[in-house]
Amino acid sequence: MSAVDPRGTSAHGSAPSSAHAHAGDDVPARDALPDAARMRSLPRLEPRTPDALAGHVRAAHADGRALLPAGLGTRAPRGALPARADAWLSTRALDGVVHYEPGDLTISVQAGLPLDALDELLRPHRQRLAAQPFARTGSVGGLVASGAEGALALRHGTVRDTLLGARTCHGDGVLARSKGRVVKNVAGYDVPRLLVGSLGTLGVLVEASLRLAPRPARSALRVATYPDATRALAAARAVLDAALEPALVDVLCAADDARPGAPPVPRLLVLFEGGAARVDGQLERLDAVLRASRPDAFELLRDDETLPLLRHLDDAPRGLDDLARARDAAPPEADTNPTTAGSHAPGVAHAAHDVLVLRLQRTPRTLPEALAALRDATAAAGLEATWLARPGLGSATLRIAPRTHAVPATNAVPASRAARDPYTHATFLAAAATLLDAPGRHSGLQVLSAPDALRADPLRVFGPPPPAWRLMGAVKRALDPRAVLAPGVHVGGL
Amino acid sequence: MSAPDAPPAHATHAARPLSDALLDPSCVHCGFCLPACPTYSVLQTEMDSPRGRLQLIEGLGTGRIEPTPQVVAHLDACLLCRACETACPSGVAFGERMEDARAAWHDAPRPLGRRLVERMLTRVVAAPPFVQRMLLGVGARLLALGDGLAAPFPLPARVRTAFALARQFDPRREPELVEGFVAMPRGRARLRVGLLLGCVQRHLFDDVNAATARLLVRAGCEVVIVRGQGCCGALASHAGQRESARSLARKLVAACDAAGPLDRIVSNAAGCGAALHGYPHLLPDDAEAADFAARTVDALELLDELGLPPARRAVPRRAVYHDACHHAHAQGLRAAPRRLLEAIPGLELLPLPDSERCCGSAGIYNLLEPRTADALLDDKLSRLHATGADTVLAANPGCLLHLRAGLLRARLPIEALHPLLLLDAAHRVLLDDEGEALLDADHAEDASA
Amino acid sequence: MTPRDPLDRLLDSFAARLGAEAVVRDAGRLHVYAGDGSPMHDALPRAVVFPRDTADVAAIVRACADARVPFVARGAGTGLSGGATALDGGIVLALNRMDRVLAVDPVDRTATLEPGVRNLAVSEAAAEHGLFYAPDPSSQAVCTVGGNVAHNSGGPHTLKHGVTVNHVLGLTLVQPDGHVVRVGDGACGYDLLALLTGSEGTLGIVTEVTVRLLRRPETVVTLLAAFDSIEAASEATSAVIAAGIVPAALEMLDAEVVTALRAAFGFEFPGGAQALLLVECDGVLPGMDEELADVSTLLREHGALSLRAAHDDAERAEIWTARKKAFGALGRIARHYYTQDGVIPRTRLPEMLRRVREVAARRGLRVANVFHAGDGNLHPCILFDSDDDKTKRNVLEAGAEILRHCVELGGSLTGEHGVGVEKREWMSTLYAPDDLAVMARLRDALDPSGLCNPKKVLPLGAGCGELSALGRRAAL
Repeated sequence: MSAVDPRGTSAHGSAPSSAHAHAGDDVPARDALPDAARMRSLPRLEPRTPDALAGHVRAAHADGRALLPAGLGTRAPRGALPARADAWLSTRALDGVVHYEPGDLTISVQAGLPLDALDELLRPHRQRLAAQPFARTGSVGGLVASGAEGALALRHGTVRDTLLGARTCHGDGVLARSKGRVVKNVAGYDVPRLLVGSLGTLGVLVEASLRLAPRPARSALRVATYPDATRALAAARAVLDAALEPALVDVLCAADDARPGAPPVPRLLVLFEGGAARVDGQLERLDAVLRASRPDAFELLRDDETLPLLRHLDDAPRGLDDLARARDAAPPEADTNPTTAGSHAPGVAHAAHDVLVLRLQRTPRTLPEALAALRDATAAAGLEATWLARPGLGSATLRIAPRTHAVPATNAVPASRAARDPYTHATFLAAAATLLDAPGRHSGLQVLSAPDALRADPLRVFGPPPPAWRLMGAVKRALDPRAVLAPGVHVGGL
Repeated sequence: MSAPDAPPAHATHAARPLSDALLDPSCVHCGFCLPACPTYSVLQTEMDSPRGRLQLIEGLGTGRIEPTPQVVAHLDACLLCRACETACPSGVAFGERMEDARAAWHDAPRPLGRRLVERMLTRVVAAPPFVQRMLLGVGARLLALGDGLAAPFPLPARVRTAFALARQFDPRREPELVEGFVAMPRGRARLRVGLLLGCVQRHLFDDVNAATARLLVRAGCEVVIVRGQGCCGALASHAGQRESARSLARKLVAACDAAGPLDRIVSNAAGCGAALHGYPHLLPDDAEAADFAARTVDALELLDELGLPPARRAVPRRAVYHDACHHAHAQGLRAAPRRLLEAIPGLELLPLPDSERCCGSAGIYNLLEPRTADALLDDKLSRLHATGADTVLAANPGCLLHLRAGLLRARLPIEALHPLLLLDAAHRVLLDDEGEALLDADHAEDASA
Repeated sequence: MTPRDPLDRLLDSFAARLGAEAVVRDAGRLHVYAGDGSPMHDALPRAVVFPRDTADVAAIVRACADARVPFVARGAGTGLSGGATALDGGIVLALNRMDRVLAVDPVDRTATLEPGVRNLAVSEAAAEHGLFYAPDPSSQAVCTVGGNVAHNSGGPHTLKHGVTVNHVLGLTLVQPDGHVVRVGDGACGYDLLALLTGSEGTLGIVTEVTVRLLRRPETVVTLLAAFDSIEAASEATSAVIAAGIVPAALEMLDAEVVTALRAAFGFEFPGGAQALLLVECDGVLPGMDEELADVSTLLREHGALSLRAAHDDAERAEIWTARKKAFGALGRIARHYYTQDGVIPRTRLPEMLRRVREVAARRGLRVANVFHAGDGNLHPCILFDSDDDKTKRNVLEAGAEILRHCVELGGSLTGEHGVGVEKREWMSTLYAPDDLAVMARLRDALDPSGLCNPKKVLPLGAGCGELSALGRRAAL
């Protein structure tokens, strides 16, 4: 599970994982928070079999060491900094397919299987994983641990609605299965779903059974640009209330990567999927709805043309980052940051910089207001937000960075971000902290990624613990009694 | 089947010899009857659901549970509306089983008041009509007297309602139809039918009986008011007084037999009709009773089957039709009354939500279980009120009395009538005369038309 | 009981709080609370209490916990696995009087409900906003949302719209120690909603539920296809799914079931047909004709003898009433039925149905099949008429055998009815001891006292096979 990212551990090569099995003997004082540099230098375990993985966990459980479950290391680090850490435990080498019967529309795979490899497998059968069908970054395990909300969440739900069964290694090294590979199953407690969004703190996913969806024959993405966010969100509401079944209704306020350097404008994005008649018939209805909202510009992307944009929407934290980069018009090759060089995911680089990615989870009714308030607060802190809102789900992802464009930048490509940044790293951290520590901090606000300095305190990352936190603690103790797995990473220091 | 292997040690309470039907476990506990049961909706305990009552009956039958007052109270709390039979996918004959159970445990401990009321009422219905009439007259006068004396005092609404209802009964008025009367249609009769007057209906709703006779004649029937008919036995049967119900039933069958060949035996009260259909269960192995039951038909059903000539005049009302339980659930009679009413010019038939839900009357249930009955009545009244209708039609004297009491109490400007009265109003000749004259006039009008 | 009996005192305190009428404690009346919808399981509770709100439930639970008296929540008693039976002489908390629809929010498309609200009443309450509640178990006219949450109930339309866990957004839980906590509502942290949904009331008592509502589809078309064998109908099912079509429902009924339905509702069956496939497509009007044409073509290509479309609501309602009351209607063709709820990967349907038939034939039993073909969720109903122990044992063993085949084919013991008492000991055929140990740890973590609906879901002790531990009644 890639909940906590092992970015920068570039030298792991293909050494057998067992070499690292006991590499964590010289553990530092446990109460000391590991700093970023030490995190990067932690040994990395890459077991090749579930049993080997369980062996590592069992050993750590016995020795009182802490492991950081990880996948491919493509997602920005999530959650708070771990309270203790002695080694990374990656499922990268567990990347097999256990069972695939296309007629069942289900698949069982090992957790380390990359999502793009999975998609390669499914494509010939005109199937896909609807939880995150476009971005396909990272592994199955990472997707489960992060619980990320994909582009099609409105219609198909998240990985929570896709995960049928799991084999998991819990904190004492016990490998256990729950549920299975059939689409309906109420035999026993739902341990698999408990892992969704657990950031690796309850168990290391070893194997997952997933429900698949048919790949649609056709798709069409309507893009409508509005002068302000309020109108874009109102138009989204109208679409949601219309007799339509869109696969996606998003409002994206970010730079347009087709137009490098242009300032962010709110765009309403509506996706239809299915047979030609269904797609085109709905487009007609949609346009009637949208005409009433008087958009500034109107654009239609069909089939493969939709993919570049959908990729950004599918993995919002990363997509917003990519779009921000496109706006800065810096080619990916220009990334020279030492902490990310050689990483599998260049896009993550920005997350390590002075960038804060937040997720706001409200309800459809309260989202517009909460989003506006958060944007105002961002501006007041001297920061700037690009964002993606899902009005039908009441959620939004915001990428908050120093205000770099006092005037629309249309010209130069800056050599480095720091050079043109009016803020120092310290002023950014202070501003971001103000935003997160405000007494009236918005409920439903969560930090998805931030500089390490902002991630030390779970309270800052997740806000105050939820009412059921005590119960969550009981669950954590039941599944990871000695806090071996990513200790302190989750809400309230779970 | 709820407790397939319960320890036999439990089966110590006096088990009773019961018919197979009582122990027939084809109830599969699916629970579809729960939302259909009016008493469950009010009382909200499993014991007051059909499924629960069947389990009580089964427990009593096998001797696993004792007929304690608490247990028996739940059997008594059943309306016998049989809405559960409509809901039941398994086709459990709940009404029969409940009647069997009440008969089997009619001697179980019950509150004294209940026993007295039941005994009194079942005696009264079995009494000759002239005695009933006398008793009713005395009762009404006493009530009217009480009303006058009590006028200055605050009285419970229930008592006031009883007074108000009593004022509606005029013991001096002579009945329009008398036993032995035969009415002939113009030309050859299509059917020869015996008309049952009902024990309550003949005294309180005699106008309905007259209307029924007129309509049947208009539909081409020779109508015989069977001599010595008495009561159908429904009330006794519901109260678990099986032997008295049986003797009433035998008497009625014999009376109809004596009236010469009858193609059909017509009832215009839903409760009676259901009871007549239940004779084969009440009198098993009695071929005559079975034949009788097969010839039994509700007046509305028969009129719908035979068809009526076009109505003579419009009846401008906004009405709703309340399905009497023993029409809808016991006889499956739903469409025929509505078809007849829809043919009345000027009558606007409005939909009544939950029209098949019991109003709480259920024979003498409203006297014995007033709280439940009132809860159901209130629900019915609020639904009636919401429709904006000026008339509610119900084809059962019990429902009509209960609804009228409720409407009076709630001061709702809605009239509760038997549908046959409206039908008759649309078809009869405007002569407020006695039976014979009316029938003559019927000929006259048809001739002139 | 003497007045000194602590249990008596406990019940007195409940009566003082709730009113004497809301505490049932005499053996005669408790008899009706011994079982639920399952024909095989019952246990006499020590008392039944009728709380009115969360505070009542919390007070009762706390008092039970203090007195170490087990307790179990009950909704409408339609469960099919004995989940609401009070084992160990427990107290039943009948939640059917907590039946208020607390809120319907048409913008957020949610409804907040007390647990005793009937499933169908949710859709009725939402109807004025053009919304509905998607999970629709066949007992939806009766069963309660509290029970639905406990069992993670499904229904015919879960093929497209998902089961209960996909629609529960938040809930109020009375923990087994009497603490009240709100779970979900988009709060961060572990997905306790998922853990609690389907936990069969063993982790606490849910006293309020917030569910997601969906917009009523613009059009719904129901197709009824007749096939000359249940295998052919299964193949057709697979073909529809494989073509990338996800109908709203894909239900199968065999000849036995249709016989019962004919008796109950006059439901007609095309001559010569041995299986009916009910395919429902819903959604927006654009593209619906194409979808229907595709489905019809596939059904015909796979041997549909006849195809009938119900376009209007009345005709559709008739078909669905028949389908949803199918279990109940089995009472028309047998005195008892015992249904199983196994799940298998959809492609194994024909194989599985063959095995079911073999099991029945070998044991001389009749089996009626009515099931969610699209989900691979079988409901083989074993019909029997006799009450004797030998017959019952034969029936139970047949059920167990069928489930073993389900597990063998890569499936599960239960798709929607729950484990309850019934399949508790069979869990070890599906799970290894370590798997069950993890679940047991979760249970211990949330209900350390073990008083909350004891002896459900998980096998008694690691050893399993301890069918006798509960006594003969529960095992049978």
